[in-house]
Amino acid sequence: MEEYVIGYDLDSTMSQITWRSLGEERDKQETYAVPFLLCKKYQVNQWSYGEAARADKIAGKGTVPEHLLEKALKGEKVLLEGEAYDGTELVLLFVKKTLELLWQKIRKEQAVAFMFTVERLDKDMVKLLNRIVLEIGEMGRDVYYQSHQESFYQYVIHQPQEIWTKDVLALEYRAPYLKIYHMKLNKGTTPMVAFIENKEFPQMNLCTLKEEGWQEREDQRFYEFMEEILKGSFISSIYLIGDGFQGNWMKKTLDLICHRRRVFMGKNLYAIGASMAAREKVRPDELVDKYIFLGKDRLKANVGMNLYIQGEESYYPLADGGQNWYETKKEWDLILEEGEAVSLMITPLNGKEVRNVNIILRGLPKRPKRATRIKMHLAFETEQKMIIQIEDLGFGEMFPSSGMRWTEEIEI
Amino acid sequence: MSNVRLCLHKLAKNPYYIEEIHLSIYSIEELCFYLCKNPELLREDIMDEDLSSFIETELGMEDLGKELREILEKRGSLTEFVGAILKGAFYLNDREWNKVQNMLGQSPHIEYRLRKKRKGDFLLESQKYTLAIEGYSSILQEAEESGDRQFYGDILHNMGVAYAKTFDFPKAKEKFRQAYEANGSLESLDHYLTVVRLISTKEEYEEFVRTKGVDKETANFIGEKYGKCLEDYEKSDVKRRIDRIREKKEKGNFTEYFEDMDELLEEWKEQYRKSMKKS
Repeated sequence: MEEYVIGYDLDSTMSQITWRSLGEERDKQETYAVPFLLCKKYQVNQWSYGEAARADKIAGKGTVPEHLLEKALKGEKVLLEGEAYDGTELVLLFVKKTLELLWQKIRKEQAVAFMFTVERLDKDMVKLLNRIVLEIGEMGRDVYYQSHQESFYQYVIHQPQEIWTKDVLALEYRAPYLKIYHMKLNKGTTPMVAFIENKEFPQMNLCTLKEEGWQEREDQRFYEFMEEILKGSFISSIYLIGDGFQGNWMKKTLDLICHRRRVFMGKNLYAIGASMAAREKVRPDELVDKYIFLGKDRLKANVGMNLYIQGEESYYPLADGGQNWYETKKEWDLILEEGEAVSLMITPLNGKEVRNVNIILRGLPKRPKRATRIKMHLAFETEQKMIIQIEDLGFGEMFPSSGMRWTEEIEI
Repeated sequence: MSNVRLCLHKLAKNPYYIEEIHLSIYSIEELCFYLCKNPELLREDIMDEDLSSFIETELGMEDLGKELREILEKRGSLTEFVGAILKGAFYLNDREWNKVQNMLGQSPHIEYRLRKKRKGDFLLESQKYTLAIEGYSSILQEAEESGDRQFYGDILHNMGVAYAKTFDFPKAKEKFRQAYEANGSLESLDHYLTVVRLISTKEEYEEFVRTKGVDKETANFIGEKYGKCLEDYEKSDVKRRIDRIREKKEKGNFTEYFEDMDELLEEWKEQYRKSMKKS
């Protein structure tokens, strides 16, 4: 049975799905794109999506909710024909419908890993994705999430090396304005560390007024802007993403940016990058050991503690720098030797000083040495905010649990 | 130095029951704690095939389970058996193990009444108050007849603690009084007066102090201790929790008030039931 990995770019304007073979034809991949639109037909509980939704709206057959993804993230209701719909439910419906297309191309059991990629992975987005995964189920043996930033990294790192000998830019030009991902590689470390800077340019708003001569004006504006961006920088490739680049208006700008550089239209880049990342999860290649990506969502510090393991006192890692914050969730049972405090060590990856953080278990009942069992749960709310929850489990029948819990928010 | 150790083995779904002390064991750490607590009280009946199976299947420590079975098959010693468990769990350092080993050596020579008292002490510490009282009662007469006033007084004192923990203050008061008479311990006197203060008004307590001829310094000390307890209570989590519940009542939120109050009472009842359990 041929196995596949899937990348799904869940974006507020266009969703793209890439499936990639894991078999002999390793680079065999296909992508389809669906506008992020859902249309409820008037008077009936029937929904169309994508291009069909757009057509239904134009034909006056139904109503299309606006800013659906944003509303779902905020937990807001969507009002259609006087009835309130849960925004999350509608996003779920859209994802379900788009996946029906995928399951016509490959069978569900052939999907071994599924990677969602989104513009920004914050607490609300992770919650929404968790809900989607839970409700839909059977999307692949393992389901992962990552940001566009990371999908860009995965895409680039899997291109021929001459493309990323120097820095790489992704110019994302869509409403409301231009954003740039600037990927840099620090070759002086082992493994080599890749960083991506996100830059936003509100002054470069999307040109919507297509009056006569707009192409020349847009070209000139972009030319001047790119001159500034490229000044003094070492960039080997540029990817152009988004509908802002449509309309064949780039002439002077292209001459500028293509000079001693490779320039590509980054069509489906995030979905393809996500599928490549999914493949890395299932069958890691040699790149995993050579390069590490420290993106926004990666932990920038190691978290650990000194404890006794099999009689020896040693450092025990709880969370490793470089992991995605939303994937880092663990728990352990510990026995307190004595006292009512637990000490964690935070070691920043940037070489800054190691920090010790004590969590005081205030009010913990006094018990003899080694007669308190605690459950320690570690999770993150952002890449910087760690949440430690500790629960008193007592000590069997000898010392029943007090039921006490302590929660600490720790900046790392 | 670290003050935590990582638990590498799971909690048992079906506990191992130690009949002698009416205790169910759920983890390797609990078993080790028990073995180290009173090694001199351990007898060969702990060398049990069921314990080996429990360690192997319930705790998932297959190697240790097999090792224990081998010791049983070759009729090894108690020290060897206990040592294998404590070492297999990496529970003790060498110094601690030497101490436990010495105490294990004393096991065959320990007197019956002392064994019984230690067992009662363990039950008391494990908050099995009814069982502790039963255990102490069974050796009380023998202890009195032995003429060892210190030993007899200590048993009475501990019975007082167990009664106080089950809120039977009149009996607790009587046991502390008897304990003080037997061993003259200031701790027993202290506990006796504390119980008197607990079940009296301030005026009654002062009357008691005057008529019983309690010296002023001791009486004041108990009064201050009582005051400190009240202060600590005012700052405690329990007090804060009760205040929060009362606040709901004052705001007219009666449904939540009754729900929260029921929950708190149920927790207290459960704790009390556990402490009164006879098995």
